[in-house]
Amino acid sequence: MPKQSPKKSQSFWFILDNYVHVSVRGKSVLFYNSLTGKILEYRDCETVIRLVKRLRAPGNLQVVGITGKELANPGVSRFVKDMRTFFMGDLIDAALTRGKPMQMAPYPNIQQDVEVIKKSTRGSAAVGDRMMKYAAEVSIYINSACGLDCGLCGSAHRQFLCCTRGRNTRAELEPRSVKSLLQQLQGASLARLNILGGDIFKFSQWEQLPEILNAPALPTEKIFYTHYLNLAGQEKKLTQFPAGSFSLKIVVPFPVKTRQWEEIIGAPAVNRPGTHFLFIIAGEADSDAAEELITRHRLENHSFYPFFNGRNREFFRQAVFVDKQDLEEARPTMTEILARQCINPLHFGTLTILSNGHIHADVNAPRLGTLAGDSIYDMVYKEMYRGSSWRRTRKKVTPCRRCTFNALCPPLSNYEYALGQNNLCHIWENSL
Amino acid sequence: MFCENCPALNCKGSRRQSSTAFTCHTIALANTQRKLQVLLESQNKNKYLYDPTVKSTQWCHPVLYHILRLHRQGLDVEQWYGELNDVPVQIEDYGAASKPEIAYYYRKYRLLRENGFFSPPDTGTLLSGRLSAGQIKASLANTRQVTFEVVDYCNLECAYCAYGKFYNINEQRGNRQLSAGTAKTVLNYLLDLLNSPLNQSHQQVFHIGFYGGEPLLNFPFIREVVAYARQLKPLHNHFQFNMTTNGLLLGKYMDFLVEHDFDLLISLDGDEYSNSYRVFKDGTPAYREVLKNIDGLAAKYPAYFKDRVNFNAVIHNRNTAPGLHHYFKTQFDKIPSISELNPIGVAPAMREEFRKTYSNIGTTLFQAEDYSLLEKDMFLNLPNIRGMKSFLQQCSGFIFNDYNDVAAAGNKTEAGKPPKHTAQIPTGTCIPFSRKVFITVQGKILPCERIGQQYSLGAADEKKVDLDFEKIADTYNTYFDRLEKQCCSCANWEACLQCIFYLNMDQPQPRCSGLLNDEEFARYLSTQLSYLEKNPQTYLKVMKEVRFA
Repeated sequence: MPKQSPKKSQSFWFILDNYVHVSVRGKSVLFYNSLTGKILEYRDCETVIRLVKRLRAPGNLQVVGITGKELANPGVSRFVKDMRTFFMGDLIDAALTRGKPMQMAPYPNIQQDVEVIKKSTRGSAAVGDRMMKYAAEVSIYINSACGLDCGLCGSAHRQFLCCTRGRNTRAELEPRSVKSLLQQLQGASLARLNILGGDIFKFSQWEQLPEILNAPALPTEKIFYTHYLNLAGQEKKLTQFPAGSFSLKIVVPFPVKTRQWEEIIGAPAVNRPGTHFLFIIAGEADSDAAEELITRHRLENHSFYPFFNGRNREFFRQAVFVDKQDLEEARPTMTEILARQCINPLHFGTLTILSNGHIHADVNAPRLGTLAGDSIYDMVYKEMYRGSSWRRTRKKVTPCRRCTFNALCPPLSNYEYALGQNNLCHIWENSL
Repeated sequence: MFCENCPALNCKGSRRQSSTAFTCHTIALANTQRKLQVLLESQNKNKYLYDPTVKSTQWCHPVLYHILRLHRQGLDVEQWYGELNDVPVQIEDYGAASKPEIAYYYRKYRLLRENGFFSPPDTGTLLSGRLSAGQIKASLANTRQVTFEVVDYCNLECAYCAYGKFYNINEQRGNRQLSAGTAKTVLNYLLDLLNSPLNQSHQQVFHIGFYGGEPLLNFPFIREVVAYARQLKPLHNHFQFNMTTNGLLLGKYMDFLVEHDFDLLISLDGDEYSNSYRVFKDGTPAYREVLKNIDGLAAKYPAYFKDRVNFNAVIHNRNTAPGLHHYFKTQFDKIPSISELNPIGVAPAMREEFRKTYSNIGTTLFQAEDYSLLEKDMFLNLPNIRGMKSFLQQCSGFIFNDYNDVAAAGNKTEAGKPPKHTAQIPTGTCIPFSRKVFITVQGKILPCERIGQQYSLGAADEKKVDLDFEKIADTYNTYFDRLEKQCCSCANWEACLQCIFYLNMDQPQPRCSGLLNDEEFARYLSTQLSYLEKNPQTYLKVMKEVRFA
């Protein structure tokens, strides 16, 4: 700020810092300091909107001239003071420099941006340039058979990665199809391969899996997903895989069947290094029960997956919905914000193959093709081109596209599908 | 180590500090604390911080700049701040700063530091990356182009030819041609890789290029290779042919080129005088003959000419960038690409003549009266715009190569810890074959036509392709080992564009000509930032439009 009260004829440069994210929707303006997490909102403040428009003009690069006369305006003065107080911007006497400074505005430039490439002379062909490097995580539902009858079956897997029985309980993938799929993925940057069912131990050609999954050209983390009740007596099947070649994720819905749980928790299969428990939580009681199990058995690796069962919307409103304070505490970095405007970091690079052979980017996205009829290259190309899952961002959905917070919020997940609303937040409802 | 204008000593009279004194100070710092943040001033005397660890460039208030200089000198800033009394501190380019002002910028300094600024990157680890045989094989399976040197002779004798009088050329050229059998063997070899799971691309164009000498001097080769490629079955690619030609034989072969949809790059240096270095062996200018052929092509196949034909002009002392722009725009409605003469490898006896002949694009371009029109038309072809993209990629933190780059950058790092970087290879050398494969008339395999044939990586003949990926990796890694120390001491290590094959790698201690110390690097950044201060709209134009990947 000026050392003394500015003269009306004095000129200043106001500079907005480039770690500050600015979002304007209608008459609302949001400033977010990615270093501190601080959010400032201005509503119906014409002075600020005018200043922001000037700051964002291509010829200004986040720097505008402000006169002493303008600084005498309480709206401008308050805004500049706010910006300085929260380390979002600064003011300098123009006489101290020979000319206007500049600030590199946070505008993302992805050299292989699909939307830019589509419009370029290189055309759609370039969309497929080295695109297999994006395939990072593949989830294969090898079968749908399962002897359990869980209440969450059929809907939980649409909210998070979890086993499902499927409509056709005898559906099963051909081992040679899986083999072919994995061969095609050799050039991909596959970081994780998830194997799910049904009950994976009911896969009729289990004995072929070790050879297929442990091909030397596929040095990828492999994870088997199983319901805890399906784990009983399956030690032998797991020992067909070399130790350390896979890890286990054990799905635990509530209420837990105590006797079976006690049997399973002591089994060698469960006590392998890397075993992870996925507790499915539909309410406070489930959460308490999970905590009790974790404490009692000293479970180190575990996650809580909220489950929407159609009746627990209030639980979600309390436990899952975000508010402004959550976002400030989460403190997304500027690069996270830029990433969320271009891709869906939750789904980018994922492919799901269902036990009926249908291939999706994520389980709620439109079908890309089938394992039998299409190459994985076609699927990845299609998803890269369309971007219906990997590049589905909040600025493309309602009502988030109209919300100033849309780049700060977590990426769209599968919960939005389950609850039938994209704004899993207390922000948009408060702004109505 | 501090010079008399050290800000830690309250910088008496520092606002009158001469640039020489500042330079002296910078050098002192450079010798002791390389690789920390870079502090610099633009021509407008605005102050900036570039931090390579967080990849961020920030405008700095003079008081903050003062504190950053203290930090950079290795002073304990917290202690310095704690010992401050209420006496105002003299700040360079600002004047007396009060305690509350210092306190404000001290808090800002702390904020930046808590968010990973000022953590020196460990270049020793970052530049420890090396190539593996598998990586090089995968690179070849994803290459975008194979270019065949059809013949090593030409029907012209251009004064500045890369194989002409200016350069030290060890090998004799002038009578060899590549056999079609060798080209077919190479195509078969590449097809196996293109169709393998190592190929990450799909529905991608694979370019088959014909280069010379003048490639149309061996038309039967081109016809046979094109026919052979046409019956190959790539799974993930489709073939597109291209050729660089001097245009002398266009009249004779244009029907074939159009039929096979060749991308054509015609070498032409502008109007008759501008083109006068391009002459027949008897010294007769080639311009009129070439122009007749080009006009014939444009008249007979106007749509093809519009879509598939481009021009490359070499700039020298008989033409100018604005003149070239005007000529090609009015004559053919085209924007040419403009190349400069290669200054590397000029024979000592020819240096003076080369110097007279040489011209760079920028010199004439920025003096043009209609520069704004030129910038609009030639945006991507302007050397300063290419340089600006490279600068912004390095310093803005907002340019990403691909979506994985964005996703990785978006992964949260623990507050206060610098982001994790993966080890990269030293120098700016391309991973071999990542862009193209070049096959010489002798069947030597090179990663590019622009590097000396003594660096061939393998060989092909009519029976087989001989590429030993382990050996190639070893060769490159040996070169990298020899340069790593220099790279680690270079302030521009992160955005280096220096190819190892331009560095006399035959010598035991090759010296990198692109090595920058902190002072030179700060000057480079200052030049770029000063340009952006004067041309701010260029920033968003580059960010929105420029794609080189």
